[in-house]
Amino acid sequence: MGHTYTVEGNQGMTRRRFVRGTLTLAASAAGARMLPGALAAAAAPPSAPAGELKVSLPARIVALDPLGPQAAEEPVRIVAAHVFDSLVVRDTKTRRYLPSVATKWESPDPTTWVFTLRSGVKFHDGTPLGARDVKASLERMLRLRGPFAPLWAAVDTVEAPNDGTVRIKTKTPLGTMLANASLLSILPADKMEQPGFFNRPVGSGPFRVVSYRPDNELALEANPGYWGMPPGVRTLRFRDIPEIAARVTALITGEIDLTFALPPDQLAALEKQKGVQIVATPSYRYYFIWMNVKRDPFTDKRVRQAMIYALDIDTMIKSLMKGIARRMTCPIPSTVFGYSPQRAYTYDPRKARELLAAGGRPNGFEVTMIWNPDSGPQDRELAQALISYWNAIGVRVKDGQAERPQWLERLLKLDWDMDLQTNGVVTGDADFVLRRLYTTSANRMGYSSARVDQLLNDAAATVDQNKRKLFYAQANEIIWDDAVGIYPFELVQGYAYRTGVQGFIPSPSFPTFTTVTVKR
Amino acid sequence: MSGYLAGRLAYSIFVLWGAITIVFVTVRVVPGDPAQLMVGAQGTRQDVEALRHRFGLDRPLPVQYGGYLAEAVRLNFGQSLRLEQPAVDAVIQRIPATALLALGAMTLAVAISLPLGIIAAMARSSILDRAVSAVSLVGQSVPNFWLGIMFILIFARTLRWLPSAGIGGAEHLILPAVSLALLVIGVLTRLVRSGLVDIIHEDYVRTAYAKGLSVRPVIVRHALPNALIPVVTVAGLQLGHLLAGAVVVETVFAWPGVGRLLVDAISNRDYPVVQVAVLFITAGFILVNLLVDLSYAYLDPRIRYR
Amino acid sequence: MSSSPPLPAAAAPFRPPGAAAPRYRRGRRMRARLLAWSTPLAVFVAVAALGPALVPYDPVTVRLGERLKPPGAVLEHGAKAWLGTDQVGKDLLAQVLQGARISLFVSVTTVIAAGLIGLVTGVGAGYAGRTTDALLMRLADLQLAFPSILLAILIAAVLGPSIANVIITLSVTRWVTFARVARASTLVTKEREFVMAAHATGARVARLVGRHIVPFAVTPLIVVATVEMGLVILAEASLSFLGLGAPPDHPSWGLIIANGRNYLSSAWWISTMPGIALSLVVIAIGQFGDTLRDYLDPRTVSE
Repeated sequence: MGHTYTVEGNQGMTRRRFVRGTLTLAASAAGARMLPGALAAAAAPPSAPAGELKVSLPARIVALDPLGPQAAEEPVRIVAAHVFDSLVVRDTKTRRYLPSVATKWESPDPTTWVFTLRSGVKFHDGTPLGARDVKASLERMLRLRGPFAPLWAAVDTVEAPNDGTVRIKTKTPLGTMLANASLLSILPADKMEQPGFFNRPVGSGPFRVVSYRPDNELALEANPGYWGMPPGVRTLRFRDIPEIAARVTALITGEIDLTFALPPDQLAALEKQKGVQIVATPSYRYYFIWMNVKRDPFTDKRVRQAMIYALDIDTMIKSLMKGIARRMTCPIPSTVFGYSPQRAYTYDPRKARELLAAGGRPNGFEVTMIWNPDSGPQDRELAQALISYWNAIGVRVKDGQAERPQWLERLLKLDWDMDLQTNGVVTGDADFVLRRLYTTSANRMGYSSARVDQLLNDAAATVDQNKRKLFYAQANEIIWDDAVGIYPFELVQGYAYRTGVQGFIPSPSFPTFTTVTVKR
Repeated sequence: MSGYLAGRLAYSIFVLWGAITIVFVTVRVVPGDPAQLMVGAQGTRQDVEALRHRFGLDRPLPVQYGGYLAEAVRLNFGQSLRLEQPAVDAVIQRIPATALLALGAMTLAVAISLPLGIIAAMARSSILDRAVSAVSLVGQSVPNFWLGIMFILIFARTLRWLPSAGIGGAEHLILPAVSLALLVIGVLTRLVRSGLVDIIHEDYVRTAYAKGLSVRPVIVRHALPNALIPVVTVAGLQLGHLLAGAVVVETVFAWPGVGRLLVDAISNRDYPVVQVAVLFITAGFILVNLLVDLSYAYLDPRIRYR
Repeated sequence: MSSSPPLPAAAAPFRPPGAAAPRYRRGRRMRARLLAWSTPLAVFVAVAALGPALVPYDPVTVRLGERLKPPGAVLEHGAKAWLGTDQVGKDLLAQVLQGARISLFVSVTTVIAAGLIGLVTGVGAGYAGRTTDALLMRLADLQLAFPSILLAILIAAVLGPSIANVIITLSVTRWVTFARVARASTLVTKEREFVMAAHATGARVARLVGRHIVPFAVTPLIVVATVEMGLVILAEASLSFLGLGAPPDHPSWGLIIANGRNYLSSAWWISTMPGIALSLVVIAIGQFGDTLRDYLDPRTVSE
């Protein structure tokens, strides 16, 4: 399986684990999650935060509320990771959950989770963080019915019997409790409902908000009272520069220090640029094409498979997606828990035509593929390439590009033949994608398999992670063989930053900058 | 005159109301549900319904409209669906940036087109005239986003004279304002020129000349005011197209203005923000049009407003 | 040629009308100028009509191995990419020729539609008097209050991206220019003695308007129309920049330029080739309009 990170060296990883893992020195029940190397690194005293890091995110920071309707948007989550804390954090390398605000947790019975909170954690305004803040934050998320609320659907009650304990009772066993907890930002119970709170929100994280000028810049500074490892830089600025040419120019001139999500041609050009370096890392995002299983001609599995054999995925990666994609070998990316490699579909137009004929469509057919222009990198070029390949086997696919709201509406109404889009496995866990999208009740592309339903529900209800893996392996195989969708690429994220920026550790999830230092 | 103004005021309110109503209805009629957009593909039907209820979108249209008007009269324009702040705040925060950009571009445009146009008209059909024509044509014939990006590549990346994006000091305003102004300069220069060239033959100019006045005062006191009528007309109108251009320029240069906000709000069906933004824009246009119409009376005494 | 002594143009451009002023002449030079500037326009129309037949444009097939080739590069099957290839390997020359058709069609249709609406509205408003004037001009204000962007997105939302929607959007947002100029001209003409005289002698409104007012309104409108044609082509480019312009299978120049804007520092030809074509056409239209106005204006003094 082994994923090859092209991250510079492993000592970065160790340092990161040190940052999170230092907490486990104090907590005894967390288990041995640190490598010996981390212990050695732990001996060196951290220096005070210094310097300024200017980052330009590829999308606007729309709002600063990590519990509201925008919570799943990447910029909101990136900011949340710096300004707020959560109960646990996920170590993306080992795929394990490390203590953060919670020092230990246990599950006395399958429907109860008890988290013990660290003492001495303070919000940016000096008030202490306690269990009631956790309770209030979770309740707010559920009340606002944001995008992460469905993850907590099984929750029955949340109790804060004392300042240091949070008890969550669920109606049915929730195998993804830790994944969910890592997404729950903790806000101060008393302040979070005040009007204007989110203009300058108060959290307990390594950075605090200095100023927020929407569409322009969000300025953060290091939190002097942080309970954990202080960040490497004193000031962290998020600058909004939507136009690619302007953003690349700003990186070259030094107006910003780091950015990502650049198109592959521009990324390749930056490799040759003096003063700029590129680091690429596999991510949780991937491209996929669904075929509406309930619509002719995609009701026939052979026709669906034909559409896959018609594609020369390797050439598309080499020419269009160079450096930003790898061939996908499973309905979920290799970075995600639950991944299991499948047998590849080759590029075989002749076989595609045979399958079409076997499926009763020897002369091809005509369908429409919907997609929206915010899909992902190179989406326009990709759509053209895909349509061209299918045209070569006699399938005429019309370009059904639509604005995002229309695209979403048609998608959810199942009013489409084919759908091209990206998806991100936000939790890094297969459940987030497979159970949400591929069950009969989800009905997102008309696919129905009782066996897959069973497997996915079992996997969600089990707390034993090894068992879960087995369930997902079986489900993956069925979905893949049934050609429910086409899974051409998993996306690799390229980060471009100026030399002088050190200690940046990319992860398959969104980037964080707490370990970054800047030398000018 | 005061009767005229009172009438204009009444009609202005009518226009404002009309604009709001049309926008209100249109954005809701157009496909695309803001609640669904926010919940995304992850949520359930109940989540969407809950969000719609929270935004008050599940009420019948006339009820929503009545409620909105009632609040609007009290200057409460609702909460942005997406931005977690009052819609008015979202717009007001960004108006100064767009105003700065538009004013900068307009000032630049007028300061350049007037003298250029006068020179061209007076030096008619000479090389100077043709040169001015050519220069103004260039500005009119290039897409402004292409120009903007070229400016960034030349002045920010290669020469490093100016910043590449964002708002800040005067140096941040230069490239965006020039990008925006070039189109207007082209149009205005040609209009000043063609308007002047026409007027130079009008009776009253001939009369003034016959009285023995020399050329330049004739132009300035008699010809120019009349030539300016179509110029002022178009300049006033250009303000409208300036907004469309501003949207593009604001995106290219990461300028935090109303144009970008409006496009994003429409794309995300953020109804309250769209409505308030249109309200402010309408009010701005009304003001500009009023000034334009008043200037007609000043420029040409033959036009009377009874 | 004129009988008065030729004056250096820069020194005394204003010819004293008291002296032996030459009446207007549609001299050879003026005709020659008109012909000269109608040539590029004719070339444009010919290219738009015939070009795609000579260099066929395949909207579907991509050639990923030949992407981003510079102008003049030789492709695999021996053909030459005179203007280079784009991000998916399609020949740029074919796209530019195809785009000519689309840009021409969009701009002409839009300007005719907007011009007619504007003429009717503007003359009506200027002539009919206070109430109608106020009403029509408030309608103009209302329409101006809708930034074209708003309208474009809304129309695209309802109808989907297409050429027809671009035309609708642009004519609905640009008629006001025509209307206001027509109205201004009408306001002035209306007060002139011969109009008042005609009115006093009981001439019918339609005849009066048709014979005395509309002709004076048309001349500035023609200038406006030629300016507007160029602006419409540019406005469509802006709409394409926002993703609201021509659909991808019928790319206009604006769309090609917008799609290539990330490559200005590398594969610059993708944006610049159609950009040059666009600029040349806009300039040619503008110059033609100027020349036409000089030709049509009975008061033009020719040298």
